[in-house]
Amino acid sequence: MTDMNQHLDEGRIHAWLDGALPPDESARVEAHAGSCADCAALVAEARGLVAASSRILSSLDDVPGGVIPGSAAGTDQLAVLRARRSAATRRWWRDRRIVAAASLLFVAGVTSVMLRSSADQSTALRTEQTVQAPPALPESVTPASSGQGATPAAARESPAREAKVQAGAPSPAPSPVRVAATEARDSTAEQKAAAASTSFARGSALAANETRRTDSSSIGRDRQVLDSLSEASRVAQGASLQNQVRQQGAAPQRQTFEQARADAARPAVPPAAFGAGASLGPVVTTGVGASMADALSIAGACYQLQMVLENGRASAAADTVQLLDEIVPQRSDPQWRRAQRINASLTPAVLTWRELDSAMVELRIVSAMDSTIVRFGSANIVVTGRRGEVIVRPAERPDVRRVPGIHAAFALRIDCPR
Amino acid sequence: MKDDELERLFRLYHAPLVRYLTRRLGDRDWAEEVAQEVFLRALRQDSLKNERSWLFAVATNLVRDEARRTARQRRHLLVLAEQERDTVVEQPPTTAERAHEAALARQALESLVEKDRLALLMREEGLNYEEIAAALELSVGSVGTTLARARRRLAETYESLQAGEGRRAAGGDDHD
Repeated sequence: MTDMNQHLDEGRIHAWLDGALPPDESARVEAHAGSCADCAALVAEARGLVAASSRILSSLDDVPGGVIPGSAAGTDQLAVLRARRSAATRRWWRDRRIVAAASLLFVAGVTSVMLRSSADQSTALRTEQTVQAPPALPESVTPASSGQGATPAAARESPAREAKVQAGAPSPAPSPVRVAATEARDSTAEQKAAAASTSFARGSALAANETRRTDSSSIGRDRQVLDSLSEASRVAQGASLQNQVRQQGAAPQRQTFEQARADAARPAVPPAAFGAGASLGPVVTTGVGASMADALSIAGACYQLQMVLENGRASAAADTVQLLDEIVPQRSDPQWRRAQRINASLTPAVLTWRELDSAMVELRIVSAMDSTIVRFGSANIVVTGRRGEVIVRPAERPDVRRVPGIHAAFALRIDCPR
Repeated sequence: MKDDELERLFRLYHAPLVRYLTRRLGDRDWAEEVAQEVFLRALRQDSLKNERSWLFAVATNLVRDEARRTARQRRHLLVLAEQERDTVVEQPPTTAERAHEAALARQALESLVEKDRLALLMREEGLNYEEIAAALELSVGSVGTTLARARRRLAETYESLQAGEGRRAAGGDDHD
C-alpha cells in the first residue's frame, strides 16, 4: 500500500510504469507523482531508464551479417521438432502395435491351452471355433495395427501437411513482408511462380541460387515449413499493421497503411523476396540456404517502404517501390539496377538498388533534397505483446542514412499496383 | 502435448525465447539450440500451466547448467566481441558503430548480477511480474525493485563504458 504522502520508492515506480500494480495502487502512485515534484522527477528518470535499457538490449540483437540470417531458423526448428515428434509418435504407435499383437497371441495361446485341457469334448469343439478366431482378431485391430499405412491421425497430420507443402501449393492469400533487412525465403514453387510471372529472371542469379541450393541441405526443410507458417504469418502481419495504424493515429498514414494492408490482402502474391515468405510475427526465420535461394524473386517485386521512427513505435509509409531488373546505364558498377516508384507520394527521385550479398539489398533514393540509403538485411520485425499492446520493433536495424529521426526501415511485400 | 499445441507454443514464444537467449548468451546459434531443447521438453509435458514462465524458466535453467560447463565459451565470446570492435575499423561506419554498441551492451549486461539480468531480459520479452517471479523463484513484490536496480545498473554501466571509450579515443587523438 502506498500512503498518499509517502514518497515513492524506485521499485514501485518501475512496477507502476510496467503496469504491474493493481488499479487502486496505480491510481495512488499516479496521484502522488502528480503532486510531488521529487517523485515526479524519479518517475521521469525511471522512464528514461526503461527506455535506455530497451535500447541497449536491442543492440544485442545485431548478429554479424550473413552468419545467422533472419528467418528460416525458427521454421527450421519447428520442422525439426515436428520430425522428432512424428518419429516419437511412430515409435510409440509401433510399440503399441507390438504390445497389442503380443497380447493377442498371449490370449490366444492361453485360451488354446485351457481349451485343450478341457475334458468336455463338446465344450472343446465349441471353443475350438474361438481358438480359430484369433486370425480374425488381428483384423479387428487392423486399422490400428496394420503398420505404416495405419498411422494415427496425430502422427499422420504433420507428414500430410508437409507433403502438401512439398507440392508447393501457393498460399491462397498474399504474405505481406516486413523487411528490416534481409530476409528472402520463398518456397521453390514460389520461386518458380515468380520466375514465370516476371521477365526479370536473372540467369546469373539463378545459377548462383542453384549452386547455393545444392550447398544447403536445410533449404528443403525451410521451405516446407514456410508455407505451413504463411497463414499465421499473414495474420500476425495483419495484426501488426493494425497496431501500427493504431499507434500512429494520423489519418493520412492510417490510410496508407490500410491501403498497404488491402494491397497485401490481395490474392496470388508469392511470399516475399526480401521478406522471407516471411515468417514473421513471433517466428524468427532464417536459414542461410533459404535466404540465398530467393534472390530470384526480388526483381519485379513491389514493396511498400516504411520507416520506423526513433521512438520505435510510429512509422511512416514512404512509398511503393518496384525493383526492376534493368541495369542502370552509365554506372560503372553493373550491380546497380533500376527501381521505380509507384504511386509516388514524395518528390521525384532516382531510385536504384543492388544486392550487397545474397542476404542484403541496398536501395538508394536520391532526390534533389537528399539521398537516402535503405538496406534490407536479415532482421525481422518482431511482434511482442507487452502492457496489453503490440509493439513492433526491429530485431536488427538496417542502415537508414541521412534520414534524421528514422530508427529503422522495412518493406512490406505487396501486390504490384496495376 | 498435441501437435497443434506445440505449434501454438512455438509461434507464440519461439521468437521471444530465442531473443532472450541470444541476449543472454551472445550467440544466436547457441540460443537456437537451447530454444529447441526447451520446446522438446515442452513436448513431453501433457499440459503446461503458466506456459510462458515455464518455458523461460526451463530456458534459464538449461543455460545455467550449460554455462557451468562452458564458461569458457562465454569468455571466448567476449574476446570475439573485442575483436569485432577492433576489426570494425575497416568496415562501413554504421556496421562498426553497431558492433561497438553491441560489445558495450554485452559488457554492461554482464555487469549485472544474474538474477537482475534474467529478470530484465524476461521483462523485455514481455513477461509480466508474476511470470518473472515464477520463473526466477522471486516474490512478486520484489520484481519491481529487481528491475529498477537492473535497469539503472545497465544504463549507468553502459554510459560509463561509452564515456571511457570517448576518453580513450580523445587521448588517442591527442597523440596523433
